[in-house]
Amino acid sequence: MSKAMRPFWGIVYFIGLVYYIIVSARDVFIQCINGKIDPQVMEIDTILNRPVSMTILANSITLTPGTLTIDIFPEKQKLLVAVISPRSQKDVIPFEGWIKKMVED
Amino acid sequence: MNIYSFMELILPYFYLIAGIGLIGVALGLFRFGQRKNIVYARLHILGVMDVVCILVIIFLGNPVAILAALAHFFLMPFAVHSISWADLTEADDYV
Repeated sequence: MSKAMRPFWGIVYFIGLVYYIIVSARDVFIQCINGKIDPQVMEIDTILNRPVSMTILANSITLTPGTLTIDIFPEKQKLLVAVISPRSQKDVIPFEGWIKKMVED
Repeated sequence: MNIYSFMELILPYFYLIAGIGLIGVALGLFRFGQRKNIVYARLHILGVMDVVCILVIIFLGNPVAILAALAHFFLMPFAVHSISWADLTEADDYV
């Protein structure tokens, strides 16, 4: 894929990020009200290679309420992520593909 | 109806919903006692407060305030990383 498409994927990523931030904020609000939280720390595998893209992914995870990045392991392509309730890896990093197309492809 | 009168109509309801959200998550900050990984849970809850306050500041429409909100939006993850990393390295069960 050409580098000319990167700005387009940047816009898609930003719109998706804002969408997931609002949806996650609503989910955390509901969990605060009903008290069903189970904070856990989990390791997430990522397909991203460059440190800058992993940093963007880590910041995106932290900006999304309900998930936050504690540490990055660029050599292992892993992230240490704290979640407010158990969820699958795909639910933690839904914008990984957009970041890859925006920064690495 | 132009866009400004439409915004004037919508904004009070937005502020009302934002206020209810802030009160709800503020209760969440205090209702959970000491348990495992509670620091991370409180950081998640504070993240909701950040998002709501950023949206409110943006909808207020002051350009300088919007710049401050955007700066907060981009810098907030670094502060959260620092706090969570400090808590992880201070935890007794960290190897």
